[in-house]
Amino acid sequence: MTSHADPAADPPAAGSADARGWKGGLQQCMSWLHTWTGLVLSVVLYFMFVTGTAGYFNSEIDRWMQAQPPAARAPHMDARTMLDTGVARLRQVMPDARNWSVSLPNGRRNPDLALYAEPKPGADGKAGKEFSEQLDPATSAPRAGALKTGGGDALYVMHYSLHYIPYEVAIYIVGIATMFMLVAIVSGVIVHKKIFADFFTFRPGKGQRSWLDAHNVISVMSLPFFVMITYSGLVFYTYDYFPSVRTALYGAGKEAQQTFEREVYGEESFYDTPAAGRAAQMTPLLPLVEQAAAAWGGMERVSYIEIINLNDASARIRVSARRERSVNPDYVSWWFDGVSGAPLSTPGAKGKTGADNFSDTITALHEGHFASPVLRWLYLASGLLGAGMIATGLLVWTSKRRQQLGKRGEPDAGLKFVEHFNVGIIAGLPIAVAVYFWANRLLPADLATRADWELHALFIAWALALAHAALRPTPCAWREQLALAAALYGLLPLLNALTTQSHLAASLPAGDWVLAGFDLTMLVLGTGFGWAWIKLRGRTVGRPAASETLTATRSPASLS
Amino acid sequence: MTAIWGLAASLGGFALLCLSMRPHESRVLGQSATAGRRNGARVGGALLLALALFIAVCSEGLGIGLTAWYAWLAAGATAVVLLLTYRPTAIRGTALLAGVIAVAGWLIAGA
Repeated sequence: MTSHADPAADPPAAGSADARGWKGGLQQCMSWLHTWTGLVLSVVLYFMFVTGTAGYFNSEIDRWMQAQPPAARAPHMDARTMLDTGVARLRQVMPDARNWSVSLPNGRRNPDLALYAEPKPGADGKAGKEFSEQLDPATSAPRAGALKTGGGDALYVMHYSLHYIPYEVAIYIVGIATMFMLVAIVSGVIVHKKIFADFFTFRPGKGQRSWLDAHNVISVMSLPFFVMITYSGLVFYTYDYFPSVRTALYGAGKEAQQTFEREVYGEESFYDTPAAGRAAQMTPLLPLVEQAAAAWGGMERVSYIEIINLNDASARIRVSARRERSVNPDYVSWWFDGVSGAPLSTPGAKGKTGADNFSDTITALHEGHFASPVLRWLYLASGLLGAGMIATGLLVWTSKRRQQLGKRGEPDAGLKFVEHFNVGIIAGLPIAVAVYFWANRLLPADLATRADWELHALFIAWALALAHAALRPTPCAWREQLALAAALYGLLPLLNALTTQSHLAASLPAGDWVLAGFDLTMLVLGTGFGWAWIKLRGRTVGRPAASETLTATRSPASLS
Repeated sequence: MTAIWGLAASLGGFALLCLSMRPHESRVLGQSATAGRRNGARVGGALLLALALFIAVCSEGLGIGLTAWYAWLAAGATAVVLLLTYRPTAIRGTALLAGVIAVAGWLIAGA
């Protein structure tokens, strides 16, 4: 049996418990379930935790990867000035566009004044090239020279849509993994008999006991986060995971799908209003924006202005605001007729049903957009604990089986496989993410498929790490990969200094904590991997994944 | 700023709860505490965790407040685990210091 709480209760042969499977008591069943669901899905879950955790700082990672010089911290221009500036710029570059939009800077996701224009479809029905530009909100100078990159968003998106496989398949893989994560959490709590007595207990240097302690402690510390993040992850895709409910209620086909989406996501939208084809004089923009601002409690609330069918008789104007300081940051929109200026909708948020509210809130908790810097760092810490929970779980699996073999036992193929595999997963994936950042700095700046190659580099590196882990003896593989991870993360700020103007010597004096924070975090990660490497280097015997052989040589009695 | 008082309250609260647990007290204090002191530590710890919740909900509202509280709890408890493992004798001082910072910060700055 694989009781997580009490090693003294472990019978000598673990294999027998696995063989007994479901025939034991509740705890044994749960233990079996926890062990095997955890093992089988650990790769996907570890990948999701690592990349998804990076996603909590996706905008910050974006900025670092775009490698623009530190931003001066001048105060923003007045919102009205920004709007005027934006509209003037759009008029200059695309006066005959179909749509214009001006996004005012708000929060960490949108630090810039962002402009976008979409041309009218040509005679052949195809849309032309759209225009987008980011302006400095202090000076209105265009931000130039951003590196083409997938950025932090690519990492974030990967944690639910994976890579190289179709989205529809990916979300099912992710959904199955998430569902079993929930199973592993619940069964883990049942298996963990002394959840309160061992609340603070971590006994290092005791081989398998220590890995189990670490796994227990990490899992319990952030248990509410794990439950929330797992459950909400499933809620995101309710409609995709249970399509038959939708089909039963709305029928099949595109039209039914649209009716469904309108009723569920229900905000009234005039986005698809067809152009009338007659030119018309647009109503002045500012009075509408001010009207909306007055309804929402101030100009600083207004975040987005969009014009559909510009200079057309059926022009539409949409003004949006973000509801601040709540877990669930709704965007509320107000639509106006672009010619007469008459309101077409109401300024409030749509009336939501209880179920709507629940699902929006739980998914907002998952994404954490509302989180202030301290809370965002704590989200990151919890995410890393999640990765640690899976990693220590894998190490419990192997170290337990090692221990049961004793000193002379020869591991079977399954145990050997998992031991090698562990290195390539636990250490290999962080290496691959570091390589992603290295590729960002080292790929030629004018490479058209730059963003693609950054990700190819990540997966090539991971494949190499897995191959290396498979070929080398496990203790050597651990040491070498941890050393490599330490070097890749630790030297990243140096590489940054050699290749860009956005390095620490520039970002720290400018007080640009987004750029400096990234470099400093990489140094911390490098130090962490370096520390793990040094800890392992001191060991002459034993396997990191099964260090109890060390304990065994010191106190042979402990094995009997 | 409220995050500082909240994190301190969580850290102090878990440190006290740790002191109230029989298996840990001798490592932490070098001796066995009386039942009365153990109970005192337990009540004090629970009160500090409740204070953290109060600070969180007062400053951030129920939704974000609860989220922040869970995050503070995770951070405080993790810190106590590390202290208990590597610096057990520092737990009593930590409990005292963090408790004082939390209460003082809350009283002076307001939640």
